[in-house]
Amino acid sequence: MEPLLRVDDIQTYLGESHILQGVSLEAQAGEVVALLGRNGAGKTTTLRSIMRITPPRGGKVMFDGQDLAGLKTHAVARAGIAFVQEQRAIFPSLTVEENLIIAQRGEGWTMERVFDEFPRVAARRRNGGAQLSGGEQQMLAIARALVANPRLILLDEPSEGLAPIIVEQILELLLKLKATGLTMVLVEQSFALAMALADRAVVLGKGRVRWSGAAQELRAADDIRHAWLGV
Amino acid sequence: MLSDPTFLIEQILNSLQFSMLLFLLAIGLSVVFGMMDYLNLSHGTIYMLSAYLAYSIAGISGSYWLALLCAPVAAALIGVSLYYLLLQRVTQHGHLAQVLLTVGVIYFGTEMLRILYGDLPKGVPVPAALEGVARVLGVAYPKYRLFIISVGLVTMGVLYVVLERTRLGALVRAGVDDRVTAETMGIDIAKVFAGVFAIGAYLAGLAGVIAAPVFGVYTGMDVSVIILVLIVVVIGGLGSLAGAIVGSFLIGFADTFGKILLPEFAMVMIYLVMALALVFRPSGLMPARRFMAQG
Ligand SMILES: Nc1ncnc2c1ncn2[C@@H]1O[C@H](COP(=O)(O)OP(=O)(O)O)[C@@H](O)[C@H]1O
Ligand SMILES: [Mg+2]
Repeated sequence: MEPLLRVDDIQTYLGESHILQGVSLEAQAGEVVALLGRNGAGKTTTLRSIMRITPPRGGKVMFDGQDLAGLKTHAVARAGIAFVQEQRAIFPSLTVEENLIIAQRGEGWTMERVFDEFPRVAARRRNGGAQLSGGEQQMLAIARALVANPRLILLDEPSEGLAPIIVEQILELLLKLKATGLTMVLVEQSFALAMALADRAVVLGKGRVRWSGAAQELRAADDIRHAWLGV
Repeated sequence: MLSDPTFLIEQILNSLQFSMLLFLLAIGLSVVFGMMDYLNLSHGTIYMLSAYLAYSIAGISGSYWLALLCAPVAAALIGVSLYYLLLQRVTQHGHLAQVLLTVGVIYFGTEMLRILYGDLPKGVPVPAALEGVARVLGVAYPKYRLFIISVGLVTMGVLYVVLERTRLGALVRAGVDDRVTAETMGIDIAKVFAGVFAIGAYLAGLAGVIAAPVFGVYTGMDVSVIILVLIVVVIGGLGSLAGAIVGSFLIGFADTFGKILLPEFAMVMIYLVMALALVFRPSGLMPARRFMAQG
């Protein structure tokens, strides 16, 4: 079956540095793919390349049968991809509600429905984005991705910097979303969290794919984990 | 002098009136800078051009009101064309390139207007309905100047509602906060920016028309005001409506009262206000909150 997302041998430069030197990955509809690797491996750059924030200079990204080449970032988003960034990027000048209102698009997830799902965010609906705690920001970032009703969510380190109890809540939430059939590419430093969610995994090292396969196989692949993940 | 209440009230009204003109110019410059990181010094040229257009339209038709209606629209169209045909070519090249290019536009605009209209200052008569004086707290004050103050206050109110209370306003604030993130949410920031630029140019044009009967129309009117407008934007903080309002009031009052208290050193007062503001709040008094973003 043609995958929902197919990243094929992309080459991305930041300034003059050749950061991604041929990254490929695929996500079938309904699948969660973990994108793993040490700090600086190129995970964020891969997601930013898919969104065409840093457009690749070579290779190809296909989404739902459409070549994303030439699209602007907003058009990639409108094609059905949402991006939850590493730094959450909640708009500080907007209230919680406004952060959602400007993202709302399509049928399914509405602002009221995410407020039901995220009571902690709902309690802050009239607060400014700058007043939220880290966990609340992460919840809002995910909620904001959902109200765009995407077919694919790119998640960059959702557990980063959060207390274990919050990470637990985020995991539960992501499991729920997975059960609805939402496709995800998940970048994570927490190996346990990634393994709890992912069907397949791709391991990056120094801008190249070092391993890819079923998530369960990665548990067993000690040499790969030691060499490229340090776990 | 300042102990004379009549004089004091007059000067406060003069300060308000000047603050409003500064505000109409500052808001466009500030939001354009906040959103696209573009330092458009030729914003003042649009102000001047609109004043000349008002002179022509009022002269030919005999109607100030027609000029008030048409000149800012024409100024906005010219401003937007200028941006898309020329200015945007250096959006990615940093502030120095932007300053060089837009200063070039200032010279070009000044020379063109000089060729078309000659060197002598022009006047635009006050419309009949606003001739004469009205009493404010017992002080006789020109009606036309009260009109300027009203236009400024109404504009502030409308912009406040649109920017702070509507989805469109939220899109603009999102663009100022973090353009890339707004794009990742499917928002075409280039489109939002085009609208913002047009409104900024329109308000600069509006300022040009309403200033014309009081301050006259002459080449160079843009440069003398744009420096003060830049100071307003720096003091208030980039990209924020509240900042533009506060900055305009501070400079409007500092300029007016500086000229009374220290006539030899009027600019000293302004630089003093700017220095004090920046010592205590280096990114301006009320900047858009983008730098406090991620926790
Ligand atoms: N603006 C930049 N210019 C050059 N290199 C950069 C820039 N930003 C990041 N890098 C480098 O790109 C590499 C990949 O970064 P990133 O994709 O953020 O890694 P990860 O998300 O896997 O930690 C890193 O080695 C980093 O040092
Ligand atoms: Mg990263």
